[in-house]
Amino acid sequence: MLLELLLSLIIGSTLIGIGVHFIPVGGAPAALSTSAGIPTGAPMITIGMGVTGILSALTFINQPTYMMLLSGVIGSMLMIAVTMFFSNIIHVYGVGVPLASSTFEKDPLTGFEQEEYVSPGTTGHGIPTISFVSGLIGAGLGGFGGTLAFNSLYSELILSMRDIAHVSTIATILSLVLFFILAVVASYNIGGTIQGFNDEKFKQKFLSGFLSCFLISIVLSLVYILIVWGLSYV
Amino acid sequence: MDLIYNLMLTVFMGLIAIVAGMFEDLESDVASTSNPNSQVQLAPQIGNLHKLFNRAVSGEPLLVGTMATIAGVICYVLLSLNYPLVLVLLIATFIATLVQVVLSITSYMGRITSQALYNQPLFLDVIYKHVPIMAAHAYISIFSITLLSYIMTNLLNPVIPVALPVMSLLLGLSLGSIGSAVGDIHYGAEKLYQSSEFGCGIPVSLNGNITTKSALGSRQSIDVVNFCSKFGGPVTGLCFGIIIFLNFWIYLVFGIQGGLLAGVCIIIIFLVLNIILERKSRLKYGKFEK
Repeated sequence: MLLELLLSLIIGSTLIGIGVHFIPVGGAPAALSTSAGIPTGAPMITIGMGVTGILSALTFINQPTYMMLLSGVIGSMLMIAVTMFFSNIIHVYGVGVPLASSTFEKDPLTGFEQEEYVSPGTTGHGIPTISFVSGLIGAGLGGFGGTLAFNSLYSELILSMRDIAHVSTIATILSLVLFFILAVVASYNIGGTIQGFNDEKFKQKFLSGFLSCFLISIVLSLVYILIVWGLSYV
Repeated sequence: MDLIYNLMLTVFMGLIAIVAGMFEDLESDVASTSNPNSQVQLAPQIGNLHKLFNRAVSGEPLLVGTMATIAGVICYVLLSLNYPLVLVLLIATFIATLVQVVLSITSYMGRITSQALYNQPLFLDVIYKHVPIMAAHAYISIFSITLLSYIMTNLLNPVIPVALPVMSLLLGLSLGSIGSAVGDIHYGAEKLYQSSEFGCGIPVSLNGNITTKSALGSRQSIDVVNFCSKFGGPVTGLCFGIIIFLNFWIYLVFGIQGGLLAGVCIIIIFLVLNIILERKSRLKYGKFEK
């Protein structure tokens, strides 16, 4: 059982780390419409997204595993979709800028030209459609990883502790910590802004990001196994 | 009966979430918490002395999460001692707000005194005027989050099986990240740079060159909150409210499996809405002239 937990934790936290790379993040410059993307740091939006996924999974606690995983994915994707849409509404109606990014020439999904709509002296503003889709994929991966970790922790701890409220509280806190650590690791790798999988930077950074997240996941999972073993058997 | 009871609770939760989101964003505007604060921090270095409040205790999600957890913990302890709910909520929120006030004042003083090198003065009247307003906004926001967590962990049927402080931590983190991703643009890109032309992003060369004069004297963060309460704050509230509402509503109305399908449909609807918004904005504003 502990081996199964170890594998789920490694897969779950690696998926969170990969998911962060897909989310279009603009950081502080995006809050000034100086750069495209979600106007906050990568760790911040990842934590928010992961939390909503876990919240959604918590309502599915007595359902089969695959349903719980799906609900986590849907919860995270819903959160990021609504957030990106409302962020764009403020860009368009509050600041008065069209949604465009100079990191790619043409949006492959809608075919909109980008360069002519970007304000001079900036690298874009708002979240164009392709970055929006990339954000959805990232949220899906992150939500799936977080819920997988949550579910495996929950189903391992419930065997020895029995009390649903205690177990889900511990599992929530432990899986939340995964988001905190992996989001920071991934955002160090990204280093500033990224516009999703269509961005050149994504191709440069992805492999190193994947490897570092995978290595960190192994270390974290080993620590988690010790914690769970202590909670269950000592 | 259960369905109607849960539906009414879900609607009520959505409403409280709107209030929480709105006041959280306005609190971050009046106390200048999140990403745009980098510009307020930068301004004295390029010779723009100002009377704006300057505070960044931490990232917005962590600040709101911490305050919500403090309120949640106090609430949990007092409830387990069988005190009445309303009193408990008021006291817990009040103590959390006090902590936030202390953090704000020390953070403001620390940040401004570190800029004495650039001749930026520390205005005591800024503290006297801004801190009560900041505290009032924070109080409403923290109260709403704590009430929301209480409903989720005690009144919903079936309840969400986590302890109240953990639930308020989850909601606080989520709210903070939404407030930082949605509402801040209105403050950062529009209000701070109101002297530059409307309808374009802020070029890197303008960074730090914020608007420090108002219609009558120096601009203060109270002007900012007045401006943002007309658009940025309500939109943030609406965003958080919709997320909380949809997360529960889809499963109540469409059942467990239908809810998942409905969730996918709603995500696709938001994607389509975003494409329409992008197209409309391009048609309306047109290309930039070289």
